[in-house]
Amino acid sequence: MRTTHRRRLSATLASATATTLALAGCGSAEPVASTGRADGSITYSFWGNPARAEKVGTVIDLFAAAHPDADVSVEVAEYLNYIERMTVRAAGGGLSCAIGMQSTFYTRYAEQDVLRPLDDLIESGEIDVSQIPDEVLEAGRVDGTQYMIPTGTFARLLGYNVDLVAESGAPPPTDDMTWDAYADWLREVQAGLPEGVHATEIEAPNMFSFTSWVIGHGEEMFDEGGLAFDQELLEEWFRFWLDLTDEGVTVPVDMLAEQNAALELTPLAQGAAAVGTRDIPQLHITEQALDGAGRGSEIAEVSIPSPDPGRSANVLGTNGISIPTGCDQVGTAAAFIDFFVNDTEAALAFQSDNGILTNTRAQEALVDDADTPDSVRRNVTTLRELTDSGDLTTTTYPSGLTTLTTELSRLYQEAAFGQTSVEDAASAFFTAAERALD
Amino acid sequence: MTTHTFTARRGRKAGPPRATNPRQFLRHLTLIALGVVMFYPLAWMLGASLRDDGAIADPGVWPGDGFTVDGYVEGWRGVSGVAFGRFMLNSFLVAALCVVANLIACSLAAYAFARVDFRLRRLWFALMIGTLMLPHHVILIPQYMMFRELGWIDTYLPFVVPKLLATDAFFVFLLVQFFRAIPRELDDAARLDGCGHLGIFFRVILPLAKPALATTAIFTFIYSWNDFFTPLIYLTDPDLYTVPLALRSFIDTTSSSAFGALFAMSVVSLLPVLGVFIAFQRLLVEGIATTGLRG
Repeated sequence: MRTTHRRRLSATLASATATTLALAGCGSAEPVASTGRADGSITYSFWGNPARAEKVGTVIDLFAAAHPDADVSVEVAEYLNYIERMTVRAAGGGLSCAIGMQSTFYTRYAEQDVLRPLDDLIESGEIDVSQIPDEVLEAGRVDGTQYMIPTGTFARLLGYNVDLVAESGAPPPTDDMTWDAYADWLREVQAGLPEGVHATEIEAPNMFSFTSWVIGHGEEMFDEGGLAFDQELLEEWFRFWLDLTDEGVTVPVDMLAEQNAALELTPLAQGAAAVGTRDIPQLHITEQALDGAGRGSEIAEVSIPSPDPGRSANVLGTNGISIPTGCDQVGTAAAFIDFFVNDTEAALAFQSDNGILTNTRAQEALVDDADTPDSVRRNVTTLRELTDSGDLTTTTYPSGLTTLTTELSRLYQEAAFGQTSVEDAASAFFTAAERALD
Repeated sequence: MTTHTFTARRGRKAGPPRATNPRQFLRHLTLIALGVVMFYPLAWMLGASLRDDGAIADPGVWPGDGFTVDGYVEGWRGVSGVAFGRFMLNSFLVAALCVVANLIACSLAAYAFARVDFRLRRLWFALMIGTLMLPHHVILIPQYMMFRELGWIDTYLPFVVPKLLATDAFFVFLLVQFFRAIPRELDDAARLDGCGHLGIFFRVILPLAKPALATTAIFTFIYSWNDFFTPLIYLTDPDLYTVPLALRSFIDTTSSSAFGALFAMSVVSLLPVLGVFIAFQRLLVEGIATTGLRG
């Protein structure tokens, strides 16, 4: 008995050590080959709210009807908790067979061989990606290998409160503003707003807004060596927003906490600011929150400003599903992803709840379906218009982005509260990037 | 002594009303004001649980025109097809198992540190106290790997089994402090009557340590009831979710949140903790007062 216990403990410790080493060396296990059959049990992990969980539940019911031998259970968590949990499980080798991923954070998992390459499943036809535009599919590739099948896309745009802007007497913003023109327009809006209402939220600590700023200036965010832009560009970004705050055009710096809170509590959603950047699907949520706060207004959207109006700064983001290396039910996981991406009934049930559907045929079905809510139809239409007009751009995000996102926010706040200079804050960001992107 | 106290109280009641002491009045007023400030978040949560999601930013405590019990109805329906009542039962089960495990293991470990002479006792005690300073995240991943290898994911074993190994150093320390205050003469007397360590532990120490055990039980219950991270890491099946995990499922920072349901179920989930606290308040205060944990 003692020996058995000791053996089991030894085996456990050895396994723990092996896994730790595997992690440190990053990736070791050979991916399991697919049987080509959907006859196993898998769990699909994703982030979202109960409404999304219900929609996913409907999709799974449809999948079960189409694949009676397969069994899919779900696991849902709030976005930040989801990432925290996934980090621990990825390190411990306990990821679900189908996991929700995003273009902003999947690279580090792919680079550490936590994710299984999906190219063989695409080649064998188990996952059909023929209806996904190649530029969208590209968002799920690292060094040419497909690690994530994009299921939904989102683009961050300038959302503005139509009533507040009209009340200020300023004209509506346009799609072709430069940043200087945008700042002038914000000043004009502010001049006509009642006391306590500000023209805009503060975008400086937002990594996605900063990405738009960098790309709009014709530079890349990241390259092989780390940050691909000059420190001066970051300093200009910080100064741009600090000047506007000094002029009273933005919400006060101490409202940044509200800005980072739940969507419904942000200044734009509470009618305390007239403009803020939002992902397309978030525009409708903001309208609903404004209604609830008794300040109902349409939230319209325009493109993010760019120094060269011919160069789009609307950065496309992608949500998708991946299969981890350790998954032993690859056939079922592949069938589920294929169903999620391509089945029209599933598309109608999911209603683009986590980004606008990437499957163009499913998009059309969703727009044409009489039961599709107007807000969803509007989201799909907006993205299609941007795609058709070529007013979108993509970027790749390296592992370490999460650290940089936190650092950008922290350092801007330090500069805004006068605890450090803009130059020092920008320099500290570059130092942090050297460590995070190493 | 009893008579004296009784007389004094009667005397105070029977006497003429005392003139208001301005300093005392001011002190009471300050305490009431502080009480109101401390109670405000709870009152606000109660109000928020009874108003529309859209009015979530309203700082008032009164639900107002948007009064609705939809939050309770929607929240009780739960998430992922599992009713909230199930999460409550799960939390009860986990908390109860943790309480039992902690009481058994921590009291035995504390007795050893307080009463048994063994080699390097001081060093082991210092190491045990040292584990209090070990950040949880340091052991998170190795622990996860071990439990996964043992097949304990999606079970409550990772919550309970470590507690059976007296890993809650805080409670071991609390009980050691209490046990040390019990006169050793009682042990000697029991030993003369033929008791060994187990006899002393069960017949002498435990009956006298009721307040400290109650404190351990109550704090363990509250910690387990509120624990969010352990269920987040180890539970995947919504049928097994505990209350904190279910509550966090109502919100999402990237999409819309069900605030009404969140606050309504937060109110509901507070009730058991409040009940436990009220029921054992006397023992809790006594336990804290007699274990040297008072500030």
